This record gives sequence, C-alpha cells and structure tokens, in this order.
Amino acid sequence: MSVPQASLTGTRVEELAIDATSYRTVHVLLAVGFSLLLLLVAALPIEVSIAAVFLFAGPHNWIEARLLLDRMPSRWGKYRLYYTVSLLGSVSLAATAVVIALSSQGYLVGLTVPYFIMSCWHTTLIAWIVGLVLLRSQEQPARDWKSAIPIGLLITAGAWLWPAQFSLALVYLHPLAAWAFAYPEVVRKHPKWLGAYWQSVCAVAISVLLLLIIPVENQMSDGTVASQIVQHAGASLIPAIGGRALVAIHAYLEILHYIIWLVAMPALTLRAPLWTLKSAPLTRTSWGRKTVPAVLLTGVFAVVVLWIAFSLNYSVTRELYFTLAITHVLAEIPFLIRRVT
Amino acid sequence: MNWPLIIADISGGGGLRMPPQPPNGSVPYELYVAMGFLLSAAIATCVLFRRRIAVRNAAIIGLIVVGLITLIAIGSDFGRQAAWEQSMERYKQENPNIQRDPVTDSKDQR
Repeated sequence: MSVPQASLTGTRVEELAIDATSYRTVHVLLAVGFSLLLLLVAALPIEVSIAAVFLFAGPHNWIEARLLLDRMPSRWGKYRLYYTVSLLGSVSLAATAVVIALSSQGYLVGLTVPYFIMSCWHTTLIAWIVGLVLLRSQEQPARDWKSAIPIGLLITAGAWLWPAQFSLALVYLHPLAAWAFAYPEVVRKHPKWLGAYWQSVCAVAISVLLLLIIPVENQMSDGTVASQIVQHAGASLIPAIGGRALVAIHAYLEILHYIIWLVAMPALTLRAPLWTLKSAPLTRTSWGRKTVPAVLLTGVFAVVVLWIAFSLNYSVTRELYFTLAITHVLAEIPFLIRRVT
Repeated sequence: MNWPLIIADISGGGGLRMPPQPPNGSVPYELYVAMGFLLSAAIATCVLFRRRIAVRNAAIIGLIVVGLITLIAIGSDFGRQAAWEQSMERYKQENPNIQRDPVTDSKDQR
C-alpha cells in the first residue's frame, strides 16, 4: 500500500505495521497448515477421515445451524415466497433423500429404489435450485439470470445419464460450498484478506491435483469401516483413481469444510459470542424467543449423542450420519443463493 | 434358461443352430430422457437468448446435433429390434420342431 509516511501519525503507522505482520503471519500459517494437512491425509487417509468425522461432524452442523439462524429474517415480508419454497423444498427433498438412501442401504426391508427414482430426485433438486435462483433474480435490484434455465436443463440431462456419478459429485461439491459461504464475508468485512482467500482456493486445487497424481500405495486396510469409507469416496464409480487417493481427497476437502465452519466463519461473521443469540433476528419474535434456544439446546444434545453413538458403533453411525446430513446440505442452498448473489 | 442345452436336448444332440440373440445393446430409456432435457436446454436457450445471435446460433447447432443423435439412437434401436424379430421368425420357420417359444425364452433370458 503506497501511503505517504509523512501524512501518517505514529499510531497509524504502528497499526499498518501490525496489519502487515499479521497478514504475513496468516499467509505463513495457511501455507504450513495446508502442507501439513496434505501430508497427513496422504499418509493416513482412512484414519484421518475417521477422526475428522468423529470429532467435527456434529459440532460443525451445530455451528452451521447457529450461523444460518443469523441469516434468517424474523419476518419474511416480500421474501415470503422465496423462504416458503426454500423450506418446503428442503424438507421434502431431505425426507425423500433419506428414504431413498435408507432403502438402498437395506434399512427399509421390502423397499428397493431403482435408479429411476434417484434420477427423479436429482431432477427435482435441480428444478428447486433453478426456481430459487429465478425467485432471487426477481428481487430488487433485478438480475438477469434466465440462463439458469438452460444450464439447469443441461445438468439434469447429465444427471439422467450418470445418476450415481451425479450423487458422488454432490458428495465432493458440498465441502466446497463452505468456501462459497466464506467469500462474501471476506469481501464485505475483510477485503484485505481476499488475496489470502484466493491463494487458499489455489492451494486446495493444487493439493487435490497432487493427491491425484502422487503415486500412493493403493493397499487399503481391511474392515467394514475402511471399505465403507472407500465406497463413500466413490471408489467403485471411479476405478481409474485409486480408492486411497479418493479417500484422501475426500478427507482433505471435508476437513477444510469443517475448519471453515468451525473457525473461519465464526471469526468472520460473529459480532457476539455464539451462545448469546442476540444476533439472531428470529429471537426477537414472540415464538422465536423460546423456540430458537430450545432448538439450539437440542442441537447440543444431538452432538453429544452423536459422539456417544460414534464411540459405540462407528460404522453404522457414520452411515446414518451421512444419510441424514443431506438435510444440512439442502438447508445451505437457499442461504448460499442469497448470500453469494 | 440355458438355450444351447435345450436345443441339444430337443435335437437329440444333433446340434441345431443357436436362436438369434435379442439386441442387448438397446438404447436405455435414460438416454431418451437425457436427450429430452438436452433438447429442452437448446430450445430454452434459443427462446431466452433470441437477441444474442452468437448464443442463439450455438444453441441451434446444439439442437440440430442433439436432435440428430436422438433420431439415430431411436432409429438404430427400432432397427435392431426389427432385425432381431425378423431373424427370429426365420429361425422358427427353419426349426419347426422346437416346441418352446424362443422369442419368449430369449426375452426371459435377457
């Protein structure tokens, strides 16, 4: 920054010096952090994946819910249609997704779901997202987003041709959504960190490429949990990439997703401690005053239950967790559309 | 249903030629649905971007390409089915001593 030194007071110069130092420190920390994480997931993909989901899956969901509550207006007003479509879509899509997933995992005896149903679900999901984008585009200032229709139709065609691969793409795209959530916060509140943000995005891309091209021994440890994690990472759908590399990439993206939600997003957005609830507009309504704390307390209880369940039976809990996790993936979408645009 | 064994049994081991196999490479319905969405995408682009000549022309080219692929897929699907049915008829005429209906059995087998 080219600021004439003579025009600055001594305090201001010190502030700028501290800013520059902290900026450099963050760069170094990010570089070291990304490298260490890369080495860790490359060396021990299964172990890291198990530990990350065990420790952070529940807490990140709770913090995500808490931060999204800050985004929910107390009165919907002119946004009523948008939020109604969001709510109805996310609830119905989540419910049907859970039924489809449970039936395909054999939990619902006598109910088998063919690919046709899965493709219909994908079509509904894309139609819902396109509908939300169009609703958002009609708000002031109006935006010309009609291209969402042909793009949505194009993606739907792909989803019908490759339904399993489309589902897998959602598994890998969801961790990246956290980056999209962080972007507007960086732009609005900490624009000087934008450089560090884009460098981090580049670091993620390079790390994923490295995990793809580095020849790693594809020897996987046997066991239910290991094979379950390998399947979840899509080893059967992308046999060209080794199961170990896929698990490493998934674990890497998942951990970064957790870090963004647990550390970066609260640091970027919160003006008050997480537990004060003053920043949540819903708490200003008569029903929200008691309901919101009750929901968040239930969330805390659910996190503890999840930890206990992971300790008792990691394999089943992990499967059920990732089945139910579609709920928070869908809940993110309406907020993401509003926030990014 | 193990056809070679049945045929060998019927013909007393003398050896009848195999019935023509049904076209197992028929176009799956998902492809038709996907083509429908691709065509819709191209039509939507043409309608929504009719004033942007370059985008509209690209969509028209896409429309023609996807339309041709769809027609070829449908045509080859029907063609293969018809060819198989014809050869099946010929097979039945050439082997009248076969009691079972090879058409049904072949379909079951598929």
